[in-house]
Amino acid sequence: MKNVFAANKSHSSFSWNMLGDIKEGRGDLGEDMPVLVYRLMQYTMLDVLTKAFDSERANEFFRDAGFLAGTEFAKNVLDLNADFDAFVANLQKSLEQLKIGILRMEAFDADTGDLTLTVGQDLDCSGLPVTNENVCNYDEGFIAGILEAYTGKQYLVREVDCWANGDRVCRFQGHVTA
Amino acid sequence: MAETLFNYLRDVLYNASHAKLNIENLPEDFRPLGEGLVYFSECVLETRNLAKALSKGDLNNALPSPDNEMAAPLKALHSSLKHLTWQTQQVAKGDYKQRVGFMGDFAKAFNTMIEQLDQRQKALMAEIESGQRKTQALAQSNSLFEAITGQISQWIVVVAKETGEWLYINRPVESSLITKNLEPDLRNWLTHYAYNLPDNSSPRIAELELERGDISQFFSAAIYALHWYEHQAVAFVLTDVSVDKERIRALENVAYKDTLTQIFNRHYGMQLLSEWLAQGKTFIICFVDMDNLKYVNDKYGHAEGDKYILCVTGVLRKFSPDAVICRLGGDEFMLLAQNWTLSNAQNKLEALRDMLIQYNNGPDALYNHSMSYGVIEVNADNTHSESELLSIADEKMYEYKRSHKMERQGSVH
Repeated sequence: MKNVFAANKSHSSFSWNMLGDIKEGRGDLGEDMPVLVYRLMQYTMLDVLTKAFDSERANEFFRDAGFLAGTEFAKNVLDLNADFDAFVANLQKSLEQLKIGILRMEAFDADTGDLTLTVGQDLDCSGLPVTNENVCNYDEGFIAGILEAYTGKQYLVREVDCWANGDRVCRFQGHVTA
Repeated sequence: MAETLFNYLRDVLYNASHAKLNIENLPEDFRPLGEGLVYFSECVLETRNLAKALSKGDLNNALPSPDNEMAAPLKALHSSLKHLTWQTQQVAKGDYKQRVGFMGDFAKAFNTMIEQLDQRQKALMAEIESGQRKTQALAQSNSLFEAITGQISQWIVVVAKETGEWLYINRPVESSLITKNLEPDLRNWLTHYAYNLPDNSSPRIAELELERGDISQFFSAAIYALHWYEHQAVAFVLTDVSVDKERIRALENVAYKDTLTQIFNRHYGMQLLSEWLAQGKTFIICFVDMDNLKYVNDKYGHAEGDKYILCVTGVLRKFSPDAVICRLGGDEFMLLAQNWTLSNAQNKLEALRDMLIQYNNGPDALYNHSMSYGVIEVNADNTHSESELLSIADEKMYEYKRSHKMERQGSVH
């Protein structure tokens, strides 16, 4: 007999509640896991997508996935009705609590909405050797998704610099495009 | 070759604008080393430029490429300063939740400063809120005050103690001063009183009389020393007691005046005599008795008798404007006067008696106008009671009357 209740559910179509009850589902192992495992999935996925398409397309896939994650994260975790200062403070706190990274605002233009920020000890890239490659495509999308969910404006976010002084720091610039 | 590379490295460090190395001129084996040195010099130059910009506070200079690991610590510093700039802007907007989590002692000092700013702002806000509540309460009280002071008929004037400036007047004062032209006298009185009132004086009551032509207006003034904004001030609450005063005068007239003559009566005279004795004053008592009043009453009626009494009263009024003249009853009068000698008083009375007798020479004289008097002097060491003194004066009057009886027997009618 067909399960009529599960008819419209699919893991290939993301929704926040499909992340499941991690606490209950991992009663013994808990909600945390090593960054190594996260990176293992991330970079093997990048490898596969790059080979299947090309590097540029693979990066686009990662950016789009990050945008979807950022949008859902903002809707489900952040207070979208707070004023900008409170929103940024809340975002900083949430990213740190979830061990995604340490966010610092460097500039914000209230007139244009453009901003510059850095993320230190980033989940995606901290510890990676610094090269001229842009590796934080997922973060670019993630930040753009959050900003669009909050402001209602479309953002183009790009990693413009990175350096390692012990921990690695990446600088992002966001521009309002529409 | 070694010298060329040595000189190039020296120039990179000490004379960067002249540092040039032509890779093509190097032997094949040295070219990778040469390329490495050129890249190294570019890293040094980028790092130096960033350091220079930071030393000048320029955070918008072009940054070294990510490949330049040598510059990473300076880029971290640059990033921290950018973030610190943003945090400071946030603090300037009033976001006191910002905390600096890097830069050691500076962070500690900065965070302490923000906490203090936060505390001061909260204290200031509390003070402002408290001030606003007080202002609101004051506004309410003031509107109530205005309503009350506008309704009551009393005059309220607040006067600056030092300058006499009127700091506040209520509506009844405004309208009254305009219509009655009392302002100059009132202003003088209030200024004088306020200036002489001791600081922190307890409330007082005073009386004030304002005159305009023949009309007097009497006020009872309640007086309060107070602070009015920056001024030491005095508040006067003036109640118009003219009507009461007039009523009291009328009652005093009934109590102290003789109805016919409108001079003082026996009750007032004896009371004043008693007061002067108690005060140990030196004065004279004149006991005056009209001659022939009974005869006039019997023969011409009481209306004529009253005319005679008024005639004698008019003469006695001429004794002195300062003397107190009382009608003791019937044909008897008493004069009390200070600063008179016995003989002067007797001379004056004799002159008045002569003046009265002059009426007998008139064409309409129906009867003899005359009077008798006895004068005594009372000193501070007097031991007699008032009735005793009056008896002594009365006795002197009889002596006088007896001695002048013969004169009357030979007169008209």
